[in-house]
Amino acid sequence: MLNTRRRVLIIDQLATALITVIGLSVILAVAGMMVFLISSSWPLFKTEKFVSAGRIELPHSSSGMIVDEIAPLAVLLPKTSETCVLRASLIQQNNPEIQNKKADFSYQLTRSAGQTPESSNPWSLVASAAKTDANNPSEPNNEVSCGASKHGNLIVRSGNSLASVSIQIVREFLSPEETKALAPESRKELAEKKWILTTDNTVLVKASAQSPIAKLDLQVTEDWAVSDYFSQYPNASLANVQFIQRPGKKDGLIVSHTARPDNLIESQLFLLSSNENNLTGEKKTELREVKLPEPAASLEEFEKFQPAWIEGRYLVVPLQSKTFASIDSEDANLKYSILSVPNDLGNLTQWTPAFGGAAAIAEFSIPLNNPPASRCAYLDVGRATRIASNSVGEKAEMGVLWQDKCKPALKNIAHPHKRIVFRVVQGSSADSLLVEARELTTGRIAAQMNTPTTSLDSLKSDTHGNLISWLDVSQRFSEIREFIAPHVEVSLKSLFEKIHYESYENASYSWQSTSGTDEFQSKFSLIPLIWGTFKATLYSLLFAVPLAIFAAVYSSEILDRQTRNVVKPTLEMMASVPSVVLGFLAAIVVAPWIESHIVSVLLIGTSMPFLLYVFGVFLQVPSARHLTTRGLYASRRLLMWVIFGFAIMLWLLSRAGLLIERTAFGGDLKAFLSGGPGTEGVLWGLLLLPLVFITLWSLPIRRARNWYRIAVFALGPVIAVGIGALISGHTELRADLLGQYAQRNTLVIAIAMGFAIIPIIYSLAEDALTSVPNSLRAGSLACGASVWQTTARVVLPTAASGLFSAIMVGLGRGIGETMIAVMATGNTAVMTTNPFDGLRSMAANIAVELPEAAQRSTHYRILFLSALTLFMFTFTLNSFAEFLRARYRARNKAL
Amino acid sequence: MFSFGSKQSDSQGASQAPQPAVLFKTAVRIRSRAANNATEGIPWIWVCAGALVTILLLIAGLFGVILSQGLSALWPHQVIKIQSENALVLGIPMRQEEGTDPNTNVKQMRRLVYQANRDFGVNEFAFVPVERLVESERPKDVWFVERREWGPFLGRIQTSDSNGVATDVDSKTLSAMLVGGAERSKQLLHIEKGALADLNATMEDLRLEKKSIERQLEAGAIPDDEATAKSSNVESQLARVSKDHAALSTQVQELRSVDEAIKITLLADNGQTKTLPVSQILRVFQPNSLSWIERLGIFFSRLWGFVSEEPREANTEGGVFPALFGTVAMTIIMTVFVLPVGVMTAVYMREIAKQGVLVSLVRIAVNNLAGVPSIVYGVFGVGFFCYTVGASIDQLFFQEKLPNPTFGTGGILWASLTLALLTVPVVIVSTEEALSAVPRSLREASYGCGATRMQTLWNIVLPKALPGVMTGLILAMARAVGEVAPLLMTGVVKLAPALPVDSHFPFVHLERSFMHLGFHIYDLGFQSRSTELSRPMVFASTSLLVAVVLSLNFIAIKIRSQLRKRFEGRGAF
Amino acid sequence: MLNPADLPSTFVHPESCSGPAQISIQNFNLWYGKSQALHSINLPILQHEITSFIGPSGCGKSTLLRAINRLNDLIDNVTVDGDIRVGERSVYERHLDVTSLRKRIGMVFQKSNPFPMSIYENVCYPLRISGITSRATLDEAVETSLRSSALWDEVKDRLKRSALDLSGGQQQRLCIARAIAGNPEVLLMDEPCSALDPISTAKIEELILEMKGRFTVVIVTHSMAQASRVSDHTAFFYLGRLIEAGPTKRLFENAHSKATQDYISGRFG
Repeated sequence: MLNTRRRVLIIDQLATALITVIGLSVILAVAGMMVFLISSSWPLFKTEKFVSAGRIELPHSSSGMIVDEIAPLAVLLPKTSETCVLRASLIQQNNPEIQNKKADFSYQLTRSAGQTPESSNPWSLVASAAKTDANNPSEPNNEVSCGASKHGNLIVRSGNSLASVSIQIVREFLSPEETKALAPESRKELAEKKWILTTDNTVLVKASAQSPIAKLDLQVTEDWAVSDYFSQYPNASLANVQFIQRPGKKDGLIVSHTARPDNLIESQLFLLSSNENNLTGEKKTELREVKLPEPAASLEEFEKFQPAWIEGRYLVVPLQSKTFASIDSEDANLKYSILSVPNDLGNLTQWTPAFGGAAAIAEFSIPLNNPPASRCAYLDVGRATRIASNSVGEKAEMGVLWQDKCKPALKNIAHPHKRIVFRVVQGSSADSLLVEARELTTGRIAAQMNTPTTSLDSLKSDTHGNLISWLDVSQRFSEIREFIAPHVEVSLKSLFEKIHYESYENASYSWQSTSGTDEFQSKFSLIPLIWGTFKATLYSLLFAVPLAIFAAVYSSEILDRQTRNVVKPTLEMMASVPSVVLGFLAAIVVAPWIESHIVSVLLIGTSMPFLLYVFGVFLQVPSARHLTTRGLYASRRLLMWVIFGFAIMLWLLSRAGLLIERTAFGGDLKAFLSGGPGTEGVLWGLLLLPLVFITLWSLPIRRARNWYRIAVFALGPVIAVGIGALISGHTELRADLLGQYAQRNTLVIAIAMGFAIIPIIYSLAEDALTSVPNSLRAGSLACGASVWQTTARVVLPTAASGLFSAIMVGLGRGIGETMIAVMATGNTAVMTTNPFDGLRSMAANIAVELPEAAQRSTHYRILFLSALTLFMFTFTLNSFAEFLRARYRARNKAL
Repeated sequence: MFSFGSKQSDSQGASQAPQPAVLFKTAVRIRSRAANNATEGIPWIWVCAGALVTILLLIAGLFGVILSQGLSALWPHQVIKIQSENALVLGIPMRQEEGTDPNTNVKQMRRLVYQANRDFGVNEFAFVPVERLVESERPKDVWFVERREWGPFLGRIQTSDSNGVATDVDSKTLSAMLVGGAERSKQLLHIEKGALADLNATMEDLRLEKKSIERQLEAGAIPDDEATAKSSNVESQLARVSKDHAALSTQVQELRSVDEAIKITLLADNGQTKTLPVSQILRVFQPNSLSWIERLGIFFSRLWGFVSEEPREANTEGGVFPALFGTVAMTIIMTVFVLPVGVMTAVYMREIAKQGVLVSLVRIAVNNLAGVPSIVYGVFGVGFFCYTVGASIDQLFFQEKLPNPTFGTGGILWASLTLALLTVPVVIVSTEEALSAVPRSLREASYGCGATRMQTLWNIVLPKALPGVMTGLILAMARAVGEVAPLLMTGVVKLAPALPVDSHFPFVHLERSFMHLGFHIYDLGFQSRSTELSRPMVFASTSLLVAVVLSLNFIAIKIRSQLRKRFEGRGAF
Repeated sequence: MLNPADLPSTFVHPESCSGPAQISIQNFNLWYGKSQALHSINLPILQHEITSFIGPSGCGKSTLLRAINRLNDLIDNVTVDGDIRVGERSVYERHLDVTSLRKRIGMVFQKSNPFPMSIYENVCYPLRISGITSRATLDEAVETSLRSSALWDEVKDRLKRSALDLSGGQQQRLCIARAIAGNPEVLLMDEPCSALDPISTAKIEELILEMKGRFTVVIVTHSMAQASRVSDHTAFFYLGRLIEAGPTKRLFENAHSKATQDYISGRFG
């Protein structure tokens, strides 16, 4: 008696389990891919928020603060006061361990006495006594006194010279001996907490496992110095000197408000330009006084309407009459022009320049409105300065990029590294204030935070971009909040809606992910890419589907078995031609050829199917006749006839094309398209040819069949050109529908991608047609139908959903095609209907830009988002195609 | 699909080809026939035939262009010499184009001539109006010299004897010198690539070991004395290895100096000369005085060189062996992954799973894997394999090499895995098709004999389905060989320093980046120094790639048609 | 079992030759590639009479039926010799327009093959393909042919519904309606009832009897009972040869050749 051995049974279970796991692994693969794409792109839409980053108690009030990235060390810059004492202390990030380490040092800014040569650094920071009482600072230093500070650099007066110094926290790496000398347990503590405070009060930092250990230290460098400033302008005082630094450079505008005897505040503006000849290293600073048409705004107004550097060249200074003077710093005698604010928005209450030096956020109060409401607008200053500087009247108005209703702000703070502005607004209750972070490209409110304190003295954001600190009423405690907004400039609006970008004529969809400067306003609209993808796929389907479907019909319904077994494999082999080869040939061979034979390509494309049809009607080829009667083996002979006829027609049409190009378009359609000589009617005629043929053909004049057919064939082109001439009268075809001719245009990719799609659609369509059971064909033929009538009336309707799903799969492949899109199109992200224009498809965009995108940056995640949209497109398409094929197979079983 | 009987013998009269009389008769009857021609739908059959013919012409055009340009790239062409207005043009005529003459800006056809001699102050390409081409003459004594650097040279070759007098060299002594030079360079290559490379590898490993010991010391993982003992023996090993290294490199130096001694001077038409060691020259021939058979001989030796040598001149010259090797290695690694997964998934869907929701979910997932754009695979590959899996592998095993990643960046393993994911649907679909072609009765017969499911599968079903699996695999390999987009980020580089498989210890280095034929075409076609110069090379590698892909495909279709023949048939009437 | 060598020569009773012959088959041979399926068949089929072809399966009776309206052209490399004349035109004439020939011969298949269209479209298909588009003629033709195939009452209010929703018997009657819609002269039926239940078979046989005066019907059948009930003349085929043909009563009571008697009495085949 045979029985199965235990071992075999166990193997059976094991194998089944393994196979099931592997089988399901495919779903995991797809799910994993989807999860991965989603996990890489969803952070784009994470809501921005303010996070408390600690509260520090200040030994004495300070005008600014520099914070180290890793160690919680803050350096407080002195307020506008006589003494230049800096305080460095550890921020109590409400963890007890730091409280007891009362690390607190103070440094005295000193200038070495002697007139040291320009090159060496005259400034140094001398550590004064470690423990100093907060309220009575050490005796004032004899000559050095500090003025206002902004982002870590101070305006300093020593003797008669006015100078600007910048303070940074620097890292000095320990030498190997020093690291060896470190105690092991402090090294372990460093590994975990990344910073420690050693016994001798030095702060050690270790960024990551591999990087060496470093000691934090303060360093002062001189930006610029004007030696005899105070001797020239005796009554200027340090207290009301303001310095507006030119972004990216060390120089800028010095504004000093001096009280005149008739206690009017008279403000003088000096443009300081220092250019450093980095070969010789010597710095040449030059001070020029700025003459203004009318007096500049007062000191308080400078707070509300901050002066700004536009494109690092034009200096925009607020004037009393709520207009602005834009001074061209590169012009010898500082030529200025007047910029005005659009007055239909209300009267200007705030004006703050935004990061990027091309636009500014302005606030207008709406008159007679209770409760007081105001309107914020993002004004395009860059474009206004350019228009003004070369317009006759030297006057221009700032264009409005977007405007929105908003609460009146007490104070605006521009963000140094992102297009964000923090607006301090009256809070809900009387004693609370609300800080609102608003993103400037789209104008949406990114995040809000209400603060308990009633008065916010100095709301600053640090140079690293995220930390905001302000002093509460008693100016003794500084609250630090971190504004977490890694991808603030991305929102559904910025991705999919029309945005008016800086220095653009008007709102547009545009994709420009990176550029040279870091002040670049990134333009992440996906619409041009989606438009490019669909335009490429549509044109390639227009080329591929008729060819593939008709070829499938011929090879499954009419061709005899032997020829079919040769034709079908050759077409399937076509599917394995690598797309890189197709893309390359399209770019190197097809594009130039089309460029020199545009009209013949158009002519062949529009009239070839109709020519074939007319040939069929008239040319009485014996083998064609036999198609319906006896041997369909004649179909192979018909194929020979068609190849022969085809070659002649191709040659004839290309000759005709060249002839038309010479006569109607002045020898070159390309030149004609960009405005050259030529009659537009003919181009209209060319495009309307297929339409005219179809309409004339389907007019229901049945009886007079023959002469009518000849007439249509002969008259068709004439009628088309006639209509074209009529239409061209009052439409500008070239301008609105067509446009310039680009060598790598949509026709090239239509042919290249069409070539890749044809085999897929062909083989699926052919399988769908051949799976129609023969009994139906026999039934139709038995009723006396011809081969084509059987095909058209019985076989095609039955196989319709199979054909449709074949086209869907072809469409899916077209959307996903990458290499052809990269190589065969000019990759220009333009949105035009013009078939002669290039395009940029999503797949090509990812292939070109992802290798360079920084990991986890906004640009990187947006590329993943476009990959996700591509994935969802193909997913829905394929699922729909699969659903159709399943339904089609079920229905076929019923036949 | 049906076809009417072929031999239609008709008792009333044999129907040979229609005699003239019949043709006349048919012509007369055109008018009357045309009437119901249209209702019969004959014209539509013409349109369908036209569509099929267009596709066939497109295919013929594609392969025609690739083959003609590809072969002409390796074919030793004639050299022409013309005295154009200002300069003497000596070079190989290439393609013809329509251009405007700069000074008279009249439109005329002109021929692009490749003049080589890049380091002789001659611009590489010159345009010659077509009319002037007819006066060109074909000098017999011009040499075409293929050099290791600076591209080919056209001109005269001279050897200076002891007292420096330059005399034109005759071909016999030249070929003797060449053979000697080739011999020496082969020896040099053998040493450098073999022993010296091994020594370098071991020195690298020792240095890494030293660094890891330091790191452990720093992290306090091992006590000091043990660390010093370890590092001292590493030091000694390092010393010994560098000693052999020094010995070997002196040997290489001697060989080089010997090689330097034997020189030849190249004399270009503009009088400039350049002397270089013979080993620098790869191949020499006189293009205009070659007999037809010699020309064929050179063509085939160039073809062999194209397939076996390393690329030179930033990929615009030399062979594509590393790219070919990389493609094949990647495809093999991919097959190791894709075959089991594909077959098992198909078996699961067809044999094991109940045809419920789960299976249709798997089927939709499989079809979608096929439909997903290949660039998304690249994105997934680099994001998931390289940065997540690879990075964790680096943390675990390759600590000391950090911060520069070993598995954390693109490599042949990750590229093959990405492509395996891309091509697994092809294998699944064709395996499932093969499994469903196995008639139910066979399975029931085997179960009848008491076989378990796996035994039935292993002994009955799979063997019969093998051809289907084979075609799926070959189609997958054909797709992988031609893919570029997913590889852009997961491991393909322009010029890979070393092959993924070599003689050092782990022999198969899965983390190395590699060269790929498809990327080679993309890179040469679009990112090379001058598209004009790299154009022949691109067409040559394109025809090689297309040849590889088509042969794979041909085998697949042969097996599939053989499989189909047994289960063909769509029901009687 | 008889082997081809000792088969009796063909015997056709004179009664089956008297009267106008709608279809005359003159020494007709047919090859599938190399194997010969029909051996010099000579048989007249009288007008407006019902003739049935009987014989064991694979004896070529269906092939002969399909040779009449040239449906064999659908099969690969079929070669034909001899002639079949329908009315006075030869079916295999060189420039014969096959479609007009088939419009004069309706055919019903063994497995019903209604088109995946509505019932109305199915029936008026033959008229549509010959270019008739006027609504009135189509409605009238559909009604008459559905009535004459006894389907009108069951489907007259759901003509627009898909034909695939009908039952097996209804579908076969629909195919008959389609076949006679273009009122052909000849109606060929290839084992019409082999896939149907007895009740539908009885209905179909009634239909065939009613057609006696209107069409020349040729029916291929397995069941001798059906042949005796329905047909006026019967032809018995064996191994591609016509053994005996004559009036049905004559063949069933005292057939001329022994082979016919053995087959009818069920001793072999």
